[in-house]
Amino acid sequence: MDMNQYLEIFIDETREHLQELNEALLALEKDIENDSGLNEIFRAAHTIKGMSGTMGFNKMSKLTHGMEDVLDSMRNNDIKVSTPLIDLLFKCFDALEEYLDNIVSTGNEGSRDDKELIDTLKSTINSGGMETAAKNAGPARNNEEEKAVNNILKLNEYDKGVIGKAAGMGMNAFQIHIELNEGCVLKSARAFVIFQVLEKSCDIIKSEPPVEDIEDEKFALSFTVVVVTRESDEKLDKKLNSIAEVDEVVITDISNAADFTTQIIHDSSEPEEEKPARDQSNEEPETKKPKTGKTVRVDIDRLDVLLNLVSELIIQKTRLADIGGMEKSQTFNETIEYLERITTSLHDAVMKVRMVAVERVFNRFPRMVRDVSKELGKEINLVMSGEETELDRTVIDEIGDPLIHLLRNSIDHGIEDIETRRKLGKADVGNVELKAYQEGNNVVIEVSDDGKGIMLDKVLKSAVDRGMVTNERAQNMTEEDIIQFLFAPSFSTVDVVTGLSGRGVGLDVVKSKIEALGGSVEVETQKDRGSRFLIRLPLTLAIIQALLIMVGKEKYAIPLGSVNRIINIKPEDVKMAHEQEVIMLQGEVVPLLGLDELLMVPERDPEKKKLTTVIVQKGERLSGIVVDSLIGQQEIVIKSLGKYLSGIPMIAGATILGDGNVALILDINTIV
Amino acid sequence: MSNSERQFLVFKLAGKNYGINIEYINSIIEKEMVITRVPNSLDFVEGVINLRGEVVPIMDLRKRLKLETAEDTIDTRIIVIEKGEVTIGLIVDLVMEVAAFDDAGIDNISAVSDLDDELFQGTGKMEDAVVSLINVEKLISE
Repeated sequence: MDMNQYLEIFIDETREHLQELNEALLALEKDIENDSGLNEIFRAAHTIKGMSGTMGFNKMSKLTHGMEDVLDSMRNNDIKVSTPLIDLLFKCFDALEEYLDNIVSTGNEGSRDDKELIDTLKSTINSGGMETAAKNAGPARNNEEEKAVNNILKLNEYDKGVIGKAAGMGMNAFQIHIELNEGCVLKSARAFVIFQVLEKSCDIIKSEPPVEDIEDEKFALSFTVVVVTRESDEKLDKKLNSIAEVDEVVITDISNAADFTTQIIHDSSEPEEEKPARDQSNEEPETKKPKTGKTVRVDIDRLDVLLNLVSELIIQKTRLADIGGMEKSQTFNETIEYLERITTSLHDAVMKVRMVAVERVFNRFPRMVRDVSKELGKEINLVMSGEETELDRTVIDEIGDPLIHLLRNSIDHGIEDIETRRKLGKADVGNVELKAYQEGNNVVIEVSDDGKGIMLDKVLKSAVDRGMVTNERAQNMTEEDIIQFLFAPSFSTVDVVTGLSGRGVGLDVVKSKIEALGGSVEVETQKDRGSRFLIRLPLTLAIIQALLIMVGKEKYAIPLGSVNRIINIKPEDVKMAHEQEVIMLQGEVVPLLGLDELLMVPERDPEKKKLTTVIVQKGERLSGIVVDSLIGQQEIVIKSLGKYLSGIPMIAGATILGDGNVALILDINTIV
Repeated sequence: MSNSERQFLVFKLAGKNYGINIEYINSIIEKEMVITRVPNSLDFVEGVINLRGEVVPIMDLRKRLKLETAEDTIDTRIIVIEKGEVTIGLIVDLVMEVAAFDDAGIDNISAVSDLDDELFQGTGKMEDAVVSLINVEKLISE
């Protein structure tokens, strides 16, 4: 077996443990007196130490070792928990994260040197009373292995012979019983790691169940091995306990093999009162995280392949349904309908597998907000909700940066300094809210703050100064129009940002990223009350329901999510307002757009008697799109136009129709 | 490097010979499918096709090279090329053969003056003709 195949598991697990560490640190910082989280922090550091050591990432292992010592002293109240200390631990956390990132990208830890950090950790202990810490650690460990198992392996004469010989050479023989954590995903991999650790210093002479079975995962959660070694049982215990997901290690000395069956070296009656710290650290996180169900880690690429196959299947199903047009027997129709139900369920199932809770992105924000607010000297209360809302994995990976942008903006430019807040009668602590929820076929993520809001007059002035709009036109601009300037690329340049409220920082980037994901960004703002950014993202990416329409001889698809309704209007219903064709729809003025003109369709029909109009919706706003005819509703698979044609306005992508031809998907966001 | 031989797919456009390094060639297909027009794209982008389940843009190479346009014939083909993440089909009049030129046999482009030299990496000589060798990277850079 090759170590590399466990690298991914290592990376995933370390990420999780780092996340735990992060959360616990943040909790501790908030409530310094309540040190119940210390055990969790300790455990996370301890686990990372063990895992990185096993994988040969010595720098990580060294650093976590240093952290562990400090944490241990903190746990024993030898060192008082203090803000500088937490900052120090955060620094360690950052270092670990950097190591991990390096491992992800290059396969090794990189050249970062943390000697200084480790020295600081050491000196912290020295100043805080290391002696007592060491003393406390000693006996705890000694007690630990004073547990025995009753089911001792039956050894045959040969095994006994080996043990006897080893004893003659001054080696010890141990029976080691190992219990894995219930949540352990790849038991055999874990067992392999354990075996590898053991093999460094021991000879394994027997295993129950046999090694082959363990490799095939044919064992429950525990297994027992017999080893001969020159190591002491203490050392072995320490090594084994440092491996992740090992719940319990019981080492029994069986050096006196001849009559060992009756012999149990350590008495089993006296344990349990020992190692209170360890027990707590083991149990607490367990009760907190009950979600250790049966899970499989799958490479996202494999899911992509699966999704592509499902997409192909749906295309072929649509073709099949079209072929039936000639002479449709009832059985044929029934079969097609059944097939349709299956493919839809299949698609749903695959999409569900790809769904990930936004928590995955959200959980790195508390730390970021903490750093930014410290840096800016503002007190911020970040409230997050809806972390369980799920989104497609590909979207999750992409929305992190845009959200960081928005949060930073809110803290930096939205929330006022304390004096201003007091003047306005607001609480000292600024509120920033991050909210996710599902709305129809969309997921909405809101970033809002109770700060000063966007200075629209300043935005407009800057737009005029920069020649983005003439003075006269600026007079008639609505709030919405002005907000749009924020998303203009040139608004992100630094000089404007400083002159302005600064709200322009990279907002164009945020917008283009979200739009690339098929989503949209809206902004609401109120002076001195705060602002709210709404990001709307499609729930599923690859397959959507769409309305197929015709313009001239060309077919286009409009995502059904943006279709509000379809109406027929007469040419005389069309009015002109501000050089724009409009219609009245239930008392509302709705602008009318001719798709043939927008898309420069050749062979268009000049005089139409009636106008088939698809009313589309973008946020709150309605617009009418005039088409030539409707084909119908269909499930379509979204395909990219490829890199060469990326960035074509008004087109969101393409799809392959039942007849094998390509139809383009309209991007309603850029059309209206 | 000096003596290395490179193979090019040679094809005709408006009576002249052109070549594309075969390392970029994905496939050669007949131009029989419907090409879907893409609005607001560059004028030499003919549209997109469905190539084995993938959407692939098609470029009218005559237009791209500013040659006069012509009707399709029975010999018209689409050469599908691949470079990095970009896959694109090129409409050509006639696909001829694969020819090998060693580096010494490739002349600098300045020898042929009427070409938009950006798009070419040089010319190669065959027995009775000259082949303009297309710089694929430049061709797809827009």
